[in-house]
Amino acid sequence: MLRDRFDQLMMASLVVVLLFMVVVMVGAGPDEYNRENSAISRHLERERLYKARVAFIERHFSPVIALRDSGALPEALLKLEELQRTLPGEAHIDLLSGDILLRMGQFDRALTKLAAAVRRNADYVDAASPLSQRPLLESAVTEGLPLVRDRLRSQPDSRSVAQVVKDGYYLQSRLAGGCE
Amino acid sequence: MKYLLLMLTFLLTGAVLSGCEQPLEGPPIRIGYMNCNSVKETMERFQPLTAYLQQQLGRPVEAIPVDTQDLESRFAAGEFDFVHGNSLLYVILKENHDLQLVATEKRGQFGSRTAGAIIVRRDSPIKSLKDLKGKRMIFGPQLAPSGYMAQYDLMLQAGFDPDRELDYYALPRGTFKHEKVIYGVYFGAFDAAAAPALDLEIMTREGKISADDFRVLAQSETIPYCTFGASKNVDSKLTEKFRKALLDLTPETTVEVDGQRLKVLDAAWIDGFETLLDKDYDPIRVMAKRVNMPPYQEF
Repeated sequence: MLRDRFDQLMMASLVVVLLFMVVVMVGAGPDEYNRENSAISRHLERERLYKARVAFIERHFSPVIALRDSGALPEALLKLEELQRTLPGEAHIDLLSGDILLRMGQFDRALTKLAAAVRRNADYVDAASPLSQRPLLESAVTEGLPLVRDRLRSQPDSRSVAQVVKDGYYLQSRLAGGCE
Repeated sequence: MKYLLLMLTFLLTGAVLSGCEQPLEGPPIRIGYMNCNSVKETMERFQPLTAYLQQQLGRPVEAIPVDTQDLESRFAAGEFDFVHGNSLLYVILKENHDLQLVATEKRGQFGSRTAGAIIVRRDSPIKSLKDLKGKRMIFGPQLAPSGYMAQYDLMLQAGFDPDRELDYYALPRGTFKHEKVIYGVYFGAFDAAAAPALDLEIMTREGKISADDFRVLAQSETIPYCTFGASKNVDSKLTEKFRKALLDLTPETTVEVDGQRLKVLDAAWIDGFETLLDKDYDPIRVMAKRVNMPPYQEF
């Protein structure tokens, strides 16, 4: 089979290459150090994203939050309306609208807006996230859901009320979380 | 073979006819639309909705623009089967002519409800309703629940009598009254204005004004927005069909008008319709009584 030196050389080279491949394949898996490193970088990446998001919210929404906190709720809603022009589809517009409408006692509109915000950005229900808004969402569900449920009982054919009830239950389910 | 040909002919004729529009039958249904800004605008807004209703009801439907002040007398004279007007008009027609509630329009942040606001310029020295003493104010049209009644009521509730304590108050004339009221304060012709929250919202959204231009001195509780009602003489099945047609509308619903396919809700500036209960209009009744307005006005 290995009749001359050339064949022997080729065979030897083949064996060396195969051995090298085995070594590379065994060594290529994430060792403890690599695994830790990539977990840290993922964590850092997430931190960076959160920081950027918080800075973004502060930059664009601080006038709305200031108006809301001073009790100027109609003006705060108008400011959000203005922001809608530059940031269409932004989840935080829905969230703050929901918050303000809740403070105004507009429970049905608040539930709809808050559900839209959570559908767009699940961080709002994540207790571990710096963007978490669980107390706000909890109070919307606790105060608003019984009211809209009663309303649906008195108006069983109303599709709009049925939709608000669905939004309320959606928030409740997101707050409750999945299987653990 | 002869029978086969006969059957084929019937089938083909049926297929061709089913592609045609259903013929409209019966006397026309007349809808009175309250003019918001002008007759032209009202017709442009509601023509597609009227065409859609005609399609859904299978009967000719006629759109009739009506001046707010004339709506009650024309309704009483039997001119309309259905009316579309503001929520105060609904209460007036309900109390005086037993109008049947059909559906309420949804538009803006508060959905099927709206509110009345009293605004001043952001740089105004006026900080509270009491500061309005001796000032010039502009209100919206008198039968506007969120352009006149709600603000008048807010002032009375705060112990401020607009008739006696304001230096003067004006009501704008002609078209686009709510916008005129807002611009009246913006350009400094008046110290304060009675602005519907929805108009402020829409003008801000459209970039006509900025949220930073004004301060809201007070805002009323929310009250139902524009409403469709049916005459008590209309057959209840027709009213139900009419309501269903309104509730079935989605932003994607289109209709052909004068060779153009238009989105019904978009054209009418409406987000959708909702069924409210008559008791939801009670805040209007309470305000109208306090402000001494129809249908409870006493001299």
